Amino acid sequence: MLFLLIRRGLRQHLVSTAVAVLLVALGLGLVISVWVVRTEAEQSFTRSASGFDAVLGARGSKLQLVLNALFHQEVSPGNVTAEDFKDIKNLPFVDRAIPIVVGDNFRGVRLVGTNADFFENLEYAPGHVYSVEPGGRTFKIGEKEAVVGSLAFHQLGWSIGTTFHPFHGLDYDVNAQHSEIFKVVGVLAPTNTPADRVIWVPMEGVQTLGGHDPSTFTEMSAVLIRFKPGAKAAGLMLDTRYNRQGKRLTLAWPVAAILSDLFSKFDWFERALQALAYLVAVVAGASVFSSVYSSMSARKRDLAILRALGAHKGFLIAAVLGESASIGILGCALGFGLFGLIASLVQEILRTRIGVLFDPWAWNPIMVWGPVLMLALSIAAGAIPAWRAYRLSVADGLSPLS
Amino acid sequence: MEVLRIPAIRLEAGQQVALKGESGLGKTTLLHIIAGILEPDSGYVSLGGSQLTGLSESGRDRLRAERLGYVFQTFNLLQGLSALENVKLGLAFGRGADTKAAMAALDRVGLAGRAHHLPRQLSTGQQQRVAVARALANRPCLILADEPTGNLDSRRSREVVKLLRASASEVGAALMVASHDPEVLENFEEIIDLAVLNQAPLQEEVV
Amino acid sequence: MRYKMPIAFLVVLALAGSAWFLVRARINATAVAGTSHDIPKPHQDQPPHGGTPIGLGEDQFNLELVRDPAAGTLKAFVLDGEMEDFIRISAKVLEIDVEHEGRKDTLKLLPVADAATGETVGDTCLFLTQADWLKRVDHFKGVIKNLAIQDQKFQSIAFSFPEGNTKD
Repeated sequence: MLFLLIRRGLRQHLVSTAVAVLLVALGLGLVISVWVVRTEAEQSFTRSASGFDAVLGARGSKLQLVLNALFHQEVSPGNVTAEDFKDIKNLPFVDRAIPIVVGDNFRGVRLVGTNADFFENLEYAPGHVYSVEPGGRTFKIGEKEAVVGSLAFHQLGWSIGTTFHPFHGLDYDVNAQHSEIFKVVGVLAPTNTPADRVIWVPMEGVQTLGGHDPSTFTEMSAVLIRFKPGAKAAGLMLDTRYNRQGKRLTLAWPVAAILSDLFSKFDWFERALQALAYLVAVVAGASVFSSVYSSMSARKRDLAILRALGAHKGFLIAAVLGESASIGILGCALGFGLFGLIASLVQEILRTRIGVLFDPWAWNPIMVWGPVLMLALSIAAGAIPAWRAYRLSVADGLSPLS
Repeated sequence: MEVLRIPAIRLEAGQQVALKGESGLGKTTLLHIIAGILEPDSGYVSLGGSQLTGLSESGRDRLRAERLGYVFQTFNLLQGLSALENVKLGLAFGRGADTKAAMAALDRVGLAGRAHHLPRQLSTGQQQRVAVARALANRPCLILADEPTGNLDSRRSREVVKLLRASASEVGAALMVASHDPEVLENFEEIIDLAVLNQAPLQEEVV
Repeated sequence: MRYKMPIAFLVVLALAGSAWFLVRARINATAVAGTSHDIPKPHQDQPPHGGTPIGLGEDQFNLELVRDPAAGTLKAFVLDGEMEDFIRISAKVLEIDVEHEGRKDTLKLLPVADAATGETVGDTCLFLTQADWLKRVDHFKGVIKNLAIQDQKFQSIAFSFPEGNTKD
């Protein structure tokens, strides 16, 4: 009988109920979205870069170096010489040193030059190495061949054997076509990292393209570095050498902290969004209160009749709080739907623009606490109407209407 | 301000009386006291052998749900519930909502065919019959009716009173109908005149 | 009984509010891999290589001495007063008179060029020497004969290794 009364009560004031449900959904959807996008986006970026501990590049911003070399965004701050590369590669505590050369594109998709070490058991995540999909192969050093990232491959609609002219620069300019022709020989197996968004070629292939300065033929844009396990002091030592003692090169280390610093620059924006989300949640609470309050005020006589028929005061309180809780539950269910929509949008943007895998449904405590607190707010919003129902004078409630 | 001072009223099982009194004399107040909705300042009320006065509010609620049937004045059905659901309310707080018993009560008043209609889909007379079915559903020992014919024309008023008396008889319940309408009062052999029974001092204003 | 409902209302609000702050605290404590606090910042007054600091003048500059027993080398880094920045100088040699194992000696540290840092002889912060006794001797006394850094000249700076010459 209680659930029947709650259901009918909600239906009797359908418009205000619907508005309250929508506002609760909006409040919860926004709160969860802001929370998850911030924490999971940062973790996604960090995960994408976790194959490497540091990046060595020309003097400049550490963040720019990381974004350019690991996320294939931004321009390179300058070049690193072959001697610099050899120097760091031979250090005893360096496990892997992978050169990166950028400066060309195909219709906006970046060409990234590297060496054969890239395909030599190089892990981008624990237990996962860069490899080529069956049916293709890695490029031959010195040849104008390409292994295409899986996202770029599908975006460009290519197949194995496709040939193409690269274009000079990082942005597509139809007038800047190189005369050289490259051939697609393989597709990089999906890594869910920015590596999927670019075209991998032998670095000599980029360095020696027509129109490039011959003096830079042996230079590279950056070196991706992984330290040997346990070499914790290595980073600090190199940081002192390159960043403090030196004035020519920059070592971006530790990569995770640099990314975290990037995200912390958006703290003000995140706080503003959070404040907005909380405001919507409070407005939602007020809407629940308004809906239940007006519903109960209109049904004062009904409540009196229920009491006269033997309903305890507790039953009335349960009915009122049940209505507000129902609005909260429905709103929370819809709110997850709204979050799903927002998260899908963010996921698609990060995947196609940056190549970062964003998993919005990864466990986050806000997915429990958000709805719990929203529900608590909804129930609390019903407290005053419940109090009024409790205090209802049956005799007064039964008085004739005329 | 003393509104009522009643020396004693006693109803036996199956006894049917009318409570006569003009508006404002305190008929509804008396019915509320008998039903346990209001507590008297002194004296006691006993219902089917159980003391009503002195019980906690929830105790009175329970006793009312189990032993009493109440027919209110107009607009006494919950508009959002069907006829059947309204009748089930009469059972819900006592022995529990029982669809079969509720249907049987509706059938007794001739409205089994309208069980799923909402009050706005029923005529005023039909709504009142649903209210009677609700009062009967829990097979009470006492039925109280407060101006049950208030909104009805003469013919329907007579029908409702007849239905009330027959239904009360059928379940063996005592019946008290409060009314100022002579057409209602003429149906009862026993009439209690509240103006005579009430020994509270006269008030200058009728509130 | 009378005030049960307002109290219940306030209790629910208080619980909801407390739970919210608790959630925030817990979630904020959940570590994302690395934070901006992990980006190395130079520690004030700490030698960057963990070597022996030697204050020059009224701590306008410092030298950091780092011994490598395996190679028998002694490095000297020229640093600023807080030991945060490396200062490049044009000195052709850095001489230190030392006393070890009852003997007197003079160490001549020569400027080191490093392509990685861009330092050249005549523009470097690093000076280096090698001696076999440095492989086995880890305590000695020394006097830096003279050293010019920017427009400051320092002479006869006495110290002991590895203690240094700080007046703490």
